[in-house]
Amino acid sequence: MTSDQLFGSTVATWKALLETLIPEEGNLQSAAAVISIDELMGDLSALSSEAKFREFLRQLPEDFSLLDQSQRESNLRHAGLLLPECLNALLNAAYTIYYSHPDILRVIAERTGYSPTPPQPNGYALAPFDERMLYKSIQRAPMWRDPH
Amino acid sequence: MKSTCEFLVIGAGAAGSAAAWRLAQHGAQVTVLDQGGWVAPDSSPSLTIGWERARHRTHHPNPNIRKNSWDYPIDDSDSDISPMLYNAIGGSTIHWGAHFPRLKPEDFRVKSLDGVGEDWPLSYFDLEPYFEINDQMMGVAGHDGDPAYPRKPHRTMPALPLGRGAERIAAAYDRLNYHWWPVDAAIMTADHGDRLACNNCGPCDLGCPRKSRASTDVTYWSDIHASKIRLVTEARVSRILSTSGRVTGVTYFDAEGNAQEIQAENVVLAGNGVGTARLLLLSAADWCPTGLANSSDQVGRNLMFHPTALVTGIFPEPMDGFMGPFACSIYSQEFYESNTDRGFVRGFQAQTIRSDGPLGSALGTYTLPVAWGAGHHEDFYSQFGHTASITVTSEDLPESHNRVTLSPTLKDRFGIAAPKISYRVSENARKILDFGIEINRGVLKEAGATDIRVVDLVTSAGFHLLGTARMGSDPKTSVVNEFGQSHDCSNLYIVDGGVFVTVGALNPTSTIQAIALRAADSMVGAQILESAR
Repeated sequence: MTSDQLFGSTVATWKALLETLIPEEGNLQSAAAVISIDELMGDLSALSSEAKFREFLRQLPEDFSLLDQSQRESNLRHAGLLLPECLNALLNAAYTIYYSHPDILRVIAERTGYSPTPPQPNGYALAPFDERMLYKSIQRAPMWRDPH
Repeated sequence: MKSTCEFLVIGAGAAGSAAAWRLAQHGAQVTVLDQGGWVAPDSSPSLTIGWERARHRTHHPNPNIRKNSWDYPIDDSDSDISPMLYNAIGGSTIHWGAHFPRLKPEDFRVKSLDGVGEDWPLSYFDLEPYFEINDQMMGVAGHDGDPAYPRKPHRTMPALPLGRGAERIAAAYDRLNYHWWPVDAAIMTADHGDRLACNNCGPCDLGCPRKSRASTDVTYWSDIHASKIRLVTEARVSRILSTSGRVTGVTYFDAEGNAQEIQAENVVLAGNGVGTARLLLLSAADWCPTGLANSSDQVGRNLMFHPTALVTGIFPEPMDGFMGPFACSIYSQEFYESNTDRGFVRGFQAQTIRSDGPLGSALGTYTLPVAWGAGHHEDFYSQFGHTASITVTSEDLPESHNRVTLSPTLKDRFGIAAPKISYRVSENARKILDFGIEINRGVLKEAGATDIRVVDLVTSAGFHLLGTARMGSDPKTSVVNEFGQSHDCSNLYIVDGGVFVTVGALNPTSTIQAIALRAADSMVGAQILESAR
């Protein structure tokens, strides 16, 4: 991708931004490992203005990608204070792509038992409402006011 | 070529569908224009692996994010809350949660009872027979005997399953001696015709392939009487035509973008509290230079949204909140009524909300997003599947400065001025929310939550668009009478949420539809039904 397509920045910086938001931890993949920069840029373009993002990226040091996690977080928080809509858009795009990725959904399923299949057509089985639960509420006096 | 009709209904959402159906049932000749089209229930993203992504992009409830070709943009840069609405046959019922309470009797008399707002020119009991017709048409699951309401007809379908989160919260309410009850939901819990019982899939807002969750495209529009209605889809009305004291028809852009005109003996507006106000303001003429039906200067004013806060409990045990209809389980009206000791008037509804899939949990659609950075994964796994939330939905009183106007700069794709929303949360509503947050912190703690997180104003929760063409007896202070008939134009009617005088602290759709049905009876001179009370 060209610098222009990257809002004046580099692939390394964008990868570092993703790594900062969702870092690798144990067998949990980082956002940088899962999200393609092409897809990220496409999603971001729909969420915020390019001009604002260029300004946002200018708030980061040139060696941002070389910093450690703690330093990157600090820089990103600072940029986010100046242009919160850009940090929010970046977060929205990164979370949206990451948590829609089949590999990530598979890991979530393994760790939690959540089914990564669509909600329909199967839905979920839930125990029916047990009206005996209302033993206390049902004893209450009327609690609406008759205005007449 | 100009066509003509007896009743021209603009908008095929909750209100317009009900009104058009009732008019057709009375044998009137009805044409309905809607700027959207049909949305097939089996086109719901809930059938696809990308359902959560669709929810936050192509099917987002905010038209400014969704940017569907059927939508119009809304300038909300001067508003504390962003509007949510949908344009289609079914309107916003295509993407709603189907929580279906009625306003309460006292909500129609807040001036008399609490000294704020205005009284309505009609009562709960005037609407009661129409609530009942509407319940039949929409299909309502629930449980009889809620002490928070006058007796309602027997609910033939059982209440929805509560799920673990709501069961924990209900037990906490009992220990705290607070009211709770299973919600009335416009969701089938038993099969009926081609509508199947809910299978607890979760994201009702994405549409319902089983037609369990009501939307007026599968309720009113599937009834035999609707077959007599002429429906024009993808028709963007640009102006209501009028001469002094009478409307004569409308101009609109058709699906191909061609300008069209249709003449009508009566025009019925059902475009929601934003769309209807916009259209009235767009329809200014020499005889009504500040907007049609606006001699009172109330068109667009008194916009009410129901400011909402969200209190979320994180539990050590799985709550499996992604199972079951997102917005429907239980509610509490313990703090609904005024108590002057609290330092504010009126109160709030507490509605238990289930949780979300992985993406919704991470983004925190209405809750706080999962933390980014070094603690991200720990935060995600502590929350996902382990939360239950309670909304604090506040009474929102009418204030003249909260309003819809026309944007001087923003236009839709046809070059029609977009609506601009100016809205600030009132001091009274802020106090209600703060009080409700503290109450529900206590509830969730009692329920066993080990971490509680608060969104003190859900800025994206502008679902209820109300008050911008209010009804009243005095033409100097209101736009329409109790039957939705304009004080200025005797053959112009408004039947959507714009006519609300006050809004209580409850979801409005059931009340909107009852008003529309009653107004339709009046339009054709039919006998107005009376409560058996």
